[in-house]
Amino acid sequence: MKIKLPSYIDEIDLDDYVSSHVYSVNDNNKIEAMVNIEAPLPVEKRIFDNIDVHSIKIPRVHEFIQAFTDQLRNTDTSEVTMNKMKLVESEEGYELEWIYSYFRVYFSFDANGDDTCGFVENNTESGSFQSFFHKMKEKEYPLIAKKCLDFVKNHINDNGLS
Amino acid sequence: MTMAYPETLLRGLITSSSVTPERYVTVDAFQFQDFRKNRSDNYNEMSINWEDSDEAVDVLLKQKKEGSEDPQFKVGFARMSMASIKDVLRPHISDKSFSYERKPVEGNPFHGNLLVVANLKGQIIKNIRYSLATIATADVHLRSDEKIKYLKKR
Repeated sequence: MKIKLPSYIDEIDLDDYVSSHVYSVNDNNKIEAMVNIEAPLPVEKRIFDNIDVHSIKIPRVHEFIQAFTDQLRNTDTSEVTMNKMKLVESEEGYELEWIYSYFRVYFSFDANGDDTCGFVENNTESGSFQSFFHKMKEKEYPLIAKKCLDFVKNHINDNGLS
Repeated sequence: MTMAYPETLLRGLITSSSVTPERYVTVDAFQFQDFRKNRSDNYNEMSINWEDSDEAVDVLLKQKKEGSEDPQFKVGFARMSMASIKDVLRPHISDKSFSYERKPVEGNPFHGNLLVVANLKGQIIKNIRYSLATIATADVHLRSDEKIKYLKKR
């Protein structure tokens, strides 16, 4: 299939991209194809690289990771180093654990439909201690992802750590 | 009578999944066990050693797996500040959903438990476990560290 590319792109290797196709018949009875091409995240933003996403059996976890990936794509992370998330599998479901030196964020997805996100901070130098969690609804995933990214970015910047 | 507790406690690390390569303690290191048949209250427990003296580290590191010569805590241990536990888990301590106790056992006078109410909501227990893992990350000692036997309190 030939794809007309914008002039500012010399060439692309489709194997490096996530692509999807939508076909339709136009008024002249010709088939039109729309190709959606999503560039992979830059290396420094690939926080899910250590997770075997295909092994996750609860669809909501996939939706959450997609929502988080979308937010990452639109977030400036040039001044911080983000750690990789860790997947925890339990009898109840799955948890994503995002650990930093003084704080961590976690997301819990239970098979019974209960989703929560939690924040814990133990910063003895600044004297900042907190631990709380919130229930998550699927429609809130993008907003929660954004808030979590802001929380983590701010904490990394405040403490000069990764 | 109010029981006296030291400033720090030790949590033994058993499995490699307890610690990441960056030395962050994961939530895997904090599992509460249901031993209510041996208790008169409604708490689930998690073993710790109270660091009353330097000997508490030696006792922990020398502890053998039941029926084996292998060490019980083959990965190492985390030292946890009671001040941090009280600060981070203040609401859970206030409503008594989280607590702690001394419980010496044969060969280990430092032994004790962290406790959570057994029928607590799963989300709250998770929050307590993640909180403990975050506190534990501040001071981790691995057997692979050459000088572990010389490590004392900060």
